[in-house]
Amino acid sequence: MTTITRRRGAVTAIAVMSVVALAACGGGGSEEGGSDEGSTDSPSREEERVADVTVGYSAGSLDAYLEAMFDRVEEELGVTVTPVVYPTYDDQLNQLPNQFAGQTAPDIILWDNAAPVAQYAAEGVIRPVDDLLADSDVDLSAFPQALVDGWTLDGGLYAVPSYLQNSAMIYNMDVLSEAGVEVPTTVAELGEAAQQVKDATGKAGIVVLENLFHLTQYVLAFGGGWDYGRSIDSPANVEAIQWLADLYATGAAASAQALGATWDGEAIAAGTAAMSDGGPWYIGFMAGSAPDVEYRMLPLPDVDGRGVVTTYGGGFSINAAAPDPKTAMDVIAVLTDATAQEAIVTMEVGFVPAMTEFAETYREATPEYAAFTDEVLASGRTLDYPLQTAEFGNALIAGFQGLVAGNGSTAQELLSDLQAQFGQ
Amino acid sequence: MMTTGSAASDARPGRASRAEAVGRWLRRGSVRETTTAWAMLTPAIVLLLWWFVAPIVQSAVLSFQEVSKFRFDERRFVGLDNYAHLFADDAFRRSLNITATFVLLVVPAQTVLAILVAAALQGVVRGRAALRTAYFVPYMTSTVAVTTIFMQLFVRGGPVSSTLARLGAPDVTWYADAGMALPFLVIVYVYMFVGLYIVIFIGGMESIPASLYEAATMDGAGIVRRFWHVTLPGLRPYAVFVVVAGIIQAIQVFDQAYVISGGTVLGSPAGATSTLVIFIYQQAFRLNDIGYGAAATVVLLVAVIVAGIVSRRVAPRGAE
Repeated sequence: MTTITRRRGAVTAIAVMSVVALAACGGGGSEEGGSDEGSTDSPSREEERVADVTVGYSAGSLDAYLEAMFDRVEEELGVTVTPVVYPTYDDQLNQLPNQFAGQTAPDIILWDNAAPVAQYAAEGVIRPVDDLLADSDVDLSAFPQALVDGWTLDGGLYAVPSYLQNSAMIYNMDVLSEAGVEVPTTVAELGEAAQQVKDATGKAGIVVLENLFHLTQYVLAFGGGWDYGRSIDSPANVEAIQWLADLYATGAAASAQALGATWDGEAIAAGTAAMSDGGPWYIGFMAGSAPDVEYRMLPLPDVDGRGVVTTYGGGFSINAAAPDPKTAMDVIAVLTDATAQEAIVTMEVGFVPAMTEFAETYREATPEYAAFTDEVLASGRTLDYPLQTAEFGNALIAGFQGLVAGNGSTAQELLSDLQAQFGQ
Repeated sequence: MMTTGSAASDARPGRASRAEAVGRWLRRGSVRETTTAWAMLTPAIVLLLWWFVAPIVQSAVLSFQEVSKFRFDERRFVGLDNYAHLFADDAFRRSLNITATFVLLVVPAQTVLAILVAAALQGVVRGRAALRTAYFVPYMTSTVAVTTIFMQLFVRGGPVSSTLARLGAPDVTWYADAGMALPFLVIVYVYMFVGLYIVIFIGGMESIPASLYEAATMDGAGIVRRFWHVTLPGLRPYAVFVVVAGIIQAIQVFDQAYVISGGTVLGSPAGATSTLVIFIYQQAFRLNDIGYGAAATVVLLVAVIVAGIVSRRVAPRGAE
């Protein structure tokens, strides 16, 4: 009887422990949330600084730079920065809505550009920072006004600029020389050059990483643009998309995938393509991966030969649900101060500092970037995607791939359909 | 008092008999075993409910709701709207077609190939274990690694695509070509899974009594007739399992198609690899339309259940 009782007691204990363990697992999330809320509601909250702030960003060439800046934050503010690293920027954009919905989004978010911010601001999941600026060390006048304007929505500033980005056309001069082709100055010449490269070398004239940003560059080269959804099916846009699809049909243009590359830079570095739209991120990549390849980086040729660039930049936003927005702003102040801007140049992260003063320093230190003067960047176009950016991008790329695959549609039909779906 | 005392004295024997009855009940072996069994099963059942049943129920509930992209607690009951939208969606219908085509290509290919390789391995005496392991390795290898290696093999000018181009196949990068991406997916998938089924069929072949082969040999049956009349009938239960499991696995293909689409939209090129699970992932986690994605998930669940039932129904009697 004792044995039976002991055995029954043991199995009952196992069952009870299992249920308790499960309850503990299930309750973990809410307990964490509860502690966060508790800290927010603490009476001494006004005087205290949170000890830990999370910063979300996508992995890439900024990794080492950001880690160094996070160390500075800890030294100067006594605040530990916990990085929330997304594998790619696309992953960041895909995961953030779920994180906001699950209240697990980082306190501070580093955007690569302002395009998606309108949707997040409209949803109220990121907060304007104007009220926090007065008590912070951030000096907005040190940044180009165009960059600050890019982060301003309905009179509210939603991010502090960190770095400047722009589009460019990258030319593998070795492949162009092999084909006997000069650097084109207009978009018409660009198409001809691509075909000549194909005919002379069998290599792709233009390589395209098929996503919204890259297709947009060719749309802008034709004088088009999305105008936040108001001009998706404009004649210039239709002409650009059809032009690119026609180049695909002859093999003068190809996707990065078709060339066995994961992105356009790999094809340019490997010499399997002559030209691609790109940006300053090529500078560090080419220096590291293909130091012997001669290349040039210039504004994209447009219809009248003046050249076109897209000017945009990365910036830090604050989660509307961040427990301590003041500390978050102090962290951003360190991440965007003069020391941080100078480090963008000295650490050779492949980006251009956002502050005007250090952008000039970068240009002097980087001969490859010489063509992108303040005037060129100041006249740059913005990324004017429709509000439903992710949905629009997916539909545009899938439609473009269908066009290239010969599904019987035309660029006009594709863009008219997208205008009906995503037009404002 | 008399009444009370009488009642008390009456109750004592009654209580005693109930206690004896309970004692007998407790001492009964079957009851003890049942109690023990339930107690031991409880953790597994709770985990099963927690990890498998609850998400299915939650998905079913979500499929009737419109869920805010940024706030999960903001949900609105929309009845069958998600389902109506789903079946009117060309992209969804296309994903069903692609998945059906994929299953129809993959399941027969991997089943036949697995039987043939298993039969060939039966005749191998030296190095049999090493060969078995070699065939099983792709199944244990990372999907991303295998798919990436195959992408290098099938890129235009790559070793396999060049060879196949000389035999008349299109001279293209297979996974980036709208017409060749699905065949590429089939090849990678079959390569990865056939090893598992080879091992199952080898197990099945080893369970066939040697006396049957000896009798067939004495009757003058050659290797082909022995395979046809002894091996295949003996493998029938295993073949049914392989086909059913193969269908259920193939319907859920995702990883390989996800890797192929790296850097651009899922289902690339031009939706050629947009399988049902890719469609679900795209809707739920790329476009964050949770309710719509959940509706597609319920359709997938139904498809898997129906495929399982139909496969078992059409299987020859006694094969199960």
